[in-house]
Amino acid sequence: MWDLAEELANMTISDSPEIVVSLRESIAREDGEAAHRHAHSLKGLVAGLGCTRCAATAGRIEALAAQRDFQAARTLLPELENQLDLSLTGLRQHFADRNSLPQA
Amino acid sequence: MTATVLVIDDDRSILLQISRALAPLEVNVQGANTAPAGLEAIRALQPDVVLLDLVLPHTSGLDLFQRIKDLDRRLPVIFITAGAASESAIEAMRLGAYDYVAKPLNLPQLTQLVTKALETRRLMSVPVAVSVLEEEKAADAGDLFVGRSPRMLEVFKEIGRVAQQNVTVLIRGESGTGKELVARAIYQFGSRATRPFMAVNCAALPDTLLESELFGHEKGAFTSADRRRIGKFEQCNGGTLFLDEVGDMSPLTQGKVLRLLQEQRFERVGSNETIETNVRLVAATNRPLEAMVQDGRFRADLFYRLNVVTISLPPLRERAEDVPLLLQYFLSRARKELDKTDVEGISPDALELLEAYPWPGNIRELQSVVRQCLLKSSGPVIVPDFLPATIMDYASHLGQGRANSMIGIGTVTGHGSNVPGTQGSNFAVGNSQHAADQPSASFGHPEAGVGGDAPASLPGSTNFSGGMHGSHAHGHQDLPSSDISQLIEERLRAGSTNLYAEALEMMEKYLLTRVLQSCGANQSKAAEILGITRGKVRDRIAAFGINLDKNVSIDSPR
Repeated sequence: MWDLAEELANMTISDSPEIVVSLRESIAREDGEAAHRHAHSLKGLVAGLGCTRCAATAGRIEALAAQRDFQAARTLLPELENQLDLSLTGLRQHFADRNSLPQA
Repeated sequence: MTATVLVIDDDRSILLQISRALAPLEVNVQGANTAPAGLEAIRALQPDVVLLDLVLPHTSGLDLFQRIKDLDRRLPVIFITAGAASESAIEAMRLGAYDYVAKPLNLPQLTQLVTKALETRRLMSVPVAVSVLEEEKAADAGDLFVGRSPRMLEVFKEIGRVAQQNVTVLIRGESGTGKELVARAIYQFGSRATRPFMAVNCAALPDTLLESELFGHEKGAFTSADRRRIGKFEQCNGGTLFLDEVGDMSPLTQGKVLRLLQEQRFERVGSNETIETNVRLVAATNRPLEAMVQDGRFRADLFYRLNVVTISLPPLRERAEDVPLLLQYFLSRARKELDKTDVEGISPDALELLEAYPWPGNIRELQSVVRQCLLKSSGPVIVPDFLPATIMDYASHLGQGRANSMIGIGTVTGHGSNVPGTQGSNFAVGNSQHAADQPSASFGHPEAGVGGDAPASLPGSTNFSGGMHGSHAHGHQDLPSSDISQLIEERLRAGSTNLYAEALEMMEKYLLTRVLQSCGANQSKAAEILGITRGKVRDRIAAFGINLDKNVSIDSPR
């Protein structure tokens, strides 16, 4: 089962930055439907790895997007990116230590 | 043949997790990341189980679910969502989802759920062992006897023998075996079929009230007797009176009933005037009257009076061969009542479990179980998974070996033994965060979070509601009374605030029943006599629950 965790982590490491870019863009052009969906996807992705704080922030943005409160959603983005960054770094480190392989 | 599981989710990590988790089941896991792709995959791959994300690009998962059900309504669909939104969960289950899980996924639990869903799918594909009756047969059929067992045939013959004779009949049988139904059959096939039929439950009323109920009272007979009351023996003159739970009568009432049986005469409570009446008595009890006579709790002379002809109803466990027939009958009726008309029948495995069950509550319990199954079912076939916990518990107590072979756990690919079966259990799927902040904690422990058998309903929750034996408290009657003033009096005493409508309804009920009786239930003729349209007659018949089978009668209120 361990390789599944690693595979999922790698998937999250590669997919989540793209989703954040899409999320930022959809908030910028005030596309509520897309912003809601991207925030939801990110929430699901990181929650699957147990990154609960990041998932919670994504969840808040998801809710704000549903209400079309783009101003508030925008102010949460830096927090989200920061938390995601920490989570992804932690994941990379975790698997690097486990496998004694160079960091990705 | 390898089973196929389709995952419809735009998050590819979910597909990865699920395909890895299901690897031991040796199923073919396929993914689709949009609603159109999902529908296309269902058409092309004909999957056995679908896992569906509730939030998809441009589509609500609930909408997609509806379209999936249109394509294949036997297909078990398990919802997945990131939120723990109870509204969606409730809506999904209401629409007939197989189950509902939250992200982050608890993979061992999901594996178990898919195993169960695959089994359900397999069982639903087997031709049903008990199928519902033809539409028109189930429709309009009043309560009737169902059974072909020799024991029941004997009962039918007995009813036929005594119905026309003007003798007192004592009906014996356990609770829920249909004693009142026998009484009504005796009435309907008897020579008094056009006269009133009334029922009094002797156990439902305190002693003094029962006495008033049976014999009536004069104004001022006791503190609360502010007007004269006509008792059932008087009201039922010429007709048939059904005394249910006759073993629960007090010695005083027993004495009065005995006199009535001997002389067909009685006095209202608080009156010296002797009233003559002509009532045929049908009594029923599940009490051991002989033993009660022995220890003085029941009058021997009354016992011999009542016990002229005895009809003994067998408990359901002694006529187990009738169970499929009864299931079919009640299933056909209940699916309409509960608006579950997509249900086609009961699977062979489920039937086997139902046939093995001893039915301590007899037909009434069976009726209740059928309803519970229907309410629990999320597909067109009732499989063991939808049976109430009482049935499953009994099956598991029967012996592990037998229960296992009947339930058939994890047989989908031959690798199912990895996953213990938990038939009849419902997972309480919340948004469990046991993986919190530990990136790997949700993997690798197949035991974690599984095996908790949490039956959806507790054994004690079987309720004997509805149907054939509605509680017959006083006032229950199978023919509307012709005495409208009496009924109005009753309602006035009861403090009614809707008496105009009630009185009109009483009148209409009586009129319709009487006219239909007079023209042999011919609706066209009744419409002609009444000077209203046939549609209106039909409408009234349905509204009042008038039975048209042998003799026209009114069904007990539901």
